[in-house]
Amino acid sequence: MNNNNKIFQFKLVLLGEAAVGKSSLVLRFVRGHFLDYQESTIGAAFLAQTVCLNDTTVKFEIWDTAGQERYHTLAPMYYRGAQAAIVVYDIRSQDSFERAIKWVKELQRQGSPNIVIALAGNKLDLAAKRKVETAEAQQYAEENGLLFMETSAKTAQNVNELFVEIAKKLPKTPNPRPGSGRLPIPPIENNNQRKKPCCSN
Amino acid sequence: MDSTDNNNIVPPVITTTSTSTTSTTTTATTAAATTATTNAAPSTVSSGGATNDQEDVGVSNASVNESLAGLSHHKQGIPDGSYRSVDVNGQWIANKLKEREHLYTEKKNMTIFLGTWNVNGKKPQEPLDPWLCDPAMPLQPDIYAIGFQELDLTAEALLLGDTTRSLPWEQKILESISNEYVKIMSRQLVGILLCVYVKKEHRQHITMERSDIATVGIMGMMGNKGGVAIRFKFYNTSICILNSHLNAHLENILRRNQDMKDIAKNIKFVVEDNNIITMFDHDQLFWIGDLNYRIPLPDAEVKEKIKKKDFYSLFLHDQLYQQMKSGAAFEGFQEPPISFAPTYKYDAGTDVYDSSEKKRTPAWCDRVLWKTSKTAENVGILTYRRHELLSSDHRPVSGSFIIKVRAVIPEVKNRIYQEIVKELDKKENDSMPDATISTNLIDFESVKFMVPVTRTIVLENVGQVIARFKFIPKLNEKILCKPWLKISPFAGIMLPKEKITIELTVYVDSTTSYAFNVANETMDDILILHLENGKDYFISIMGSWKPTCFGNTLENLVRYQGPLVGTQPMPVEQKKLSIPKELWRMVDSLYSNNGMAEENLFIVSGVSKEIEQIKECLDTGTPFPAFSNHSMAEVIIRFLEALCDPVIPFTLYQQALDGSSAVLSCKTLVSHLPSVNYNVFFYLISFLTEVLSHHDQNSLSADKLAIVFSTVLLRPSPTNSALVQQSTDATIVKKKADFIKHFIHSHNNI
Repeated sequence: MNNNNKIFQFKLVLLGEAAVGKSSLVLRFVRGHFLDYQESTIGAAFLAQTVCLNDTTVKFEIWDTAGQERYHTLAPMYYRGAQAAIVVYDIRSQDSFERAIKWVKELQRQGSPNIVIALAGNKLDLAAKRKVETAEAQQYAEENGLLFMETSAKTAQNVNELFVEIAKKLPKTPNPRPGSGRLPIPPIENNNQRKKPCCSN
Repeated sequence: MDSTDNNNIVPPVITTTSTSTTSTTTTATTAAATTATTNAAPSTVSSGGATNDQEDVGVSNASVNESLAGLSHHKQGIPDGSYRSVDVNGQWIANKLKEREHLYTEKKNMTIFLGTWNVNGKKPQEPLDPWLCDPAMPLQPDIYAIGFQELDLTAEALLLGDTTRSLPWEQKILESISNEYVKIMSRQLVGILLCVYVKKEHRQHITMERSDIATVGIMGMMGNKGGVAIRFKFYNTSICILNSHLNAHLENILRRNQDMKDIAKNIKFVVEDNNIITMFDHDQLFWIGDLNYRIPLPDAEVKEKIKKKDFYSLFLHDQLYQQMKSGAAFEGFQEPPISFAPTYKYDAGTDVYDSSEKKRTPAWCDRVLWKTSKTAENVGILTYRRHELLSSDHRPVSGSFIIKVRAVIPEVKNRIYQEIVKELDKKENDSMPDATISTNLIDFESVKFMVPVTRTIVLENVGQVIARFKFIPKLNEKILCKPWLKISPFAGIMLPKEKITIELTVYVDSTTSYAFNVANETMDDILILHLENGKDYFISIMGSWKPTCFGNTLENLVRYQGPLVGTQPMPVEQKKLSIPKELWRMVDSLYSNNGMAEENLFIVSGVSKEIEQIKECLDTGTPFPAFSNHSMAEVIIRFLEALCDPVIPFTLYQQALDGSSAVLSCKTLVSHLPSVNYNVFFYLISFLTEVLSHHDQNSLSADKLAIVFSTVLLRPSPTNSALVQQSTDATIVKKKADFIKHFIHSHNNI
C-alpha cells in the first residue's frame, strides 16, 4: 500500500542565465507543453506542481526567476528559503555553463543550508550544437554534490525525471513546512525583518 | 485595501493547522474524519435510536471539500509563510480519493463466523470441532470471532483480574481451526473472553485493531457481567465485535436492557488522529454472548413446544425478541431466524434440561445479533445454529455471515491518486492571478530640477480571479522606490479583465537632488510589482540627469572651475573657488546691466522663459541671452532657495532665530560658518548694501531686502515640519529679517 497521503511541500527556485530555458522547463513540467517562442521572464513566476513518489508525495512551489543579469541582485528574494534549486544552462553555451557555476556558488554561500541543487543542461534536442560536454558538467556536479541531468524542455526528455530526482533527494521531515526555521542569513546586514516578498498582505 | 505600510507584511492567519476536519469529540464527526484519512468505508452511524446522539452525522464530504477548496485557494503562492499547512491539501485529496473509491476497489465476499459459549466455569474437556468446524458450514470462514462467558468463576478472577484461564481455551480453539488462521487479538474481562482470528492471507488487510471492555457488575467494578469488544478494519470495512454477559434471572429484563445500553455507551476506541469512536461507528457491528433473556412461559409448556420443535411460537415469547420489537433495547439490531432449541439450561454432560430443584425454564440465552450501518451493505446470513458440546450447562451457538468488503487495487488507486493530485495542481495554478503589464521599462529621459516627469504603465488582469497588486520593497529594503519617484497607486485590486493605469512620476527637488548633483548617482532603479498569490513583475526605471547648480551644495559648487556640464570637479584637497562662480556671474551681470537702478529689484517677478534660459546658461557656461533684471534677480533667489543646505545651514537655523535680536550673537554665529558659506554670506551682504545705495532709483529698503533674502538664506530643514510651518508666522519672518538687517546696516555704517 502506498502512503502517499503524506504531502511534503518544498520551495524550489530556478536560476540561470537568460534564455537557457528555465521557464520552458517549468511549463513543460507543470503544463506539459512547450512554446517555440517563450517570452522572456521579467520578474518571477510562481507555479505549483506535485510529484508522486512510491511512498510520499512532494509538492513543489516553483519560482521561476528572471535570468537577465540586471536582475541578479533581486534573486536572493526568490532563493531565500528555497529547499531546492535547479540551476539551468544551455548545452550550446559555455558562458551559460560558467554562469551556472556562479549560481551554484552563490547558492552554496547564501542559500538555505542543505539546499538540494540540481544542475540542468537544457536544450538537449540541439545536441548537434553542443559546446558543453556532458562529462565536464557531470564531473562538476559530482564534485559539488549536485544532481545532474541533461534535459530538453522541447522534447520533454528528462524533465519529469529531473523533478522526481529532486523530490527523492529532499529530506522528508515530519514537519514539511517550507522555510520554517531554516532561513538563510540575509546577504546584506540589515535588521529589517521583512517577510518574503511574496507574502500576501 | 492593503495597508500603506509595505514593510509590515503580516501573513494572513489561516487557521488550518488542525489536522483533522474537526477537533470536536462528537463521535459522528470524528468518524467522518477517520474515514477521510484512511479510506475506510463510510462509517457514519445509522442507528435507529439505540444511541440517540448518533443521528446527526455532522460533516458531509461535500461541505468539507467546499471549505477546503476555499482554503487552499487562499494559500497559494506563498513561498515560505510558516503558517501554511499542507494538511489541508492532504485532507482534500483524501476526500476526493474516498469519493472515487469505487473506481479503485473491487467487491469481495468474506465470511465471518461468530461463536458464543457460556462454559459455566468449566475447563476445556472435549474438542471444539463440532462448534468451530461444523461440516454443515458451507465455507471456511475468513474470520473467526469466538466468545466465552463464565470462563472463570473463581474469586481470583473476580478480585485479582487473573486471566490465566483463557490460555487453555485459546489452545483448544487453535486445535480445532486449521493453521491457516492467525490471531488478530484476544481480550478478556474476568469470565468474558473474545478471540478473533483471520485467515493468514488476509492478515495484512486487517488494520487499526483496537479493543475495549465495559463492566456492568456490582458498582461497575467487579466485572462478573459486562462486555469485551474488538474492532478492526478488514480491507476497507470497519468491523466491531462485542461479546457480553448480561445480568441473569427471568425477571431482570430491565436490568439487562440497561446493561446493554451501559456497555454500548462505555465502549470507546481511539483510532486515527486520536479520534474517539464508539461501537456504532462501524460498518458492521456484531453483538454476541450470553444475553440472558428468558422465555416467560411455564416450564412444561416450553418443554412441550421444544419437543414439537415449535420454535416459532416459542420465539414470540422470547424476552429479547419482545424488547427488540418494542425498541427498549438493541434497537436497530437484527438476528437470524432461530431454528434450534433453547441452549440453556442443561445438566452438564447430558442432553437433559435442568433437572435440579430450581428447574430453570429453558431459554435462548446465547445469541448472535448484528447491526449494519446505513452506509454499508447488509450482511448475508449463512447459518445460525447451536452445537452439541455437552460439558457446560449452555450449548454453544454460532452465526455465520457474508460481509461484502471493498479491496483496494493498489495500481489503480495510485493512478487515481495521481490524477486527483494533478487536478488540484491544475486548479491551483489556474486560479492564480495573472496580469499583463504594458512595459517593463520606464525611461524618463531627460529630467530637470523641480520639473516633474510622469510616465504610465497599464496593468491588465488577464486571469480568472481578482488580482491584488502592490509594489513591494526589495530584500532588506524598507522603501518601495527611490525618494524621487512617486507611484500612484502603489497598490490596488483588479477584477478579471479590468485594467488599471499606474502613474510613475519623477520629481527632483532640493531634498533629493544631492544624490544626482553631488553624489553622482544615476537615475536607475528596479521596481517590484507583486501580484498577491502570484507572480512578480520587475519594472526598470531610468532617466538622465544633467548636473545643475540648482539643488546643489555650496561646498560642491566651489569645486567646479568651469560649468557643471562638461567639467570635472577639482579634487577635494585642492584649492577651491571662494564662492560659486554661478553666483558671481549672476551678480556681475546685474551690475553690468544696470540692475542696481532697477525699480523693485527682487520684488517684481521675472519672465519664466528668460529664467529657464538663464538657468541653462549657468550650467552650460554659455553667455546669458538678453534678459530683464527682474528675471536675473529671481534666478539669484531661486539659486539660493534651491541649495541643499542654505547659506545659514539648517543646523544653525534655530540658533539664528533665537539670537536675532542681538547683533553680537548674530555676528558670532556668522563668524563660525564654514568658509564657503561665510564668503557667500558676505558677498551677498556687500551686494545688498550696494543695491541699497541705489535706493533712490530702485525704491528698495533694508527691510524689504532683508525679508526677501532672509527667507532663502535662513530656512528650516524641510524634514522638520513644525519649523517649516512656523517659518511664515509674522514673528518668525521678522526675526529672520532682523538677523539679516543687522549685517546690512552694520555694513552700511562702515
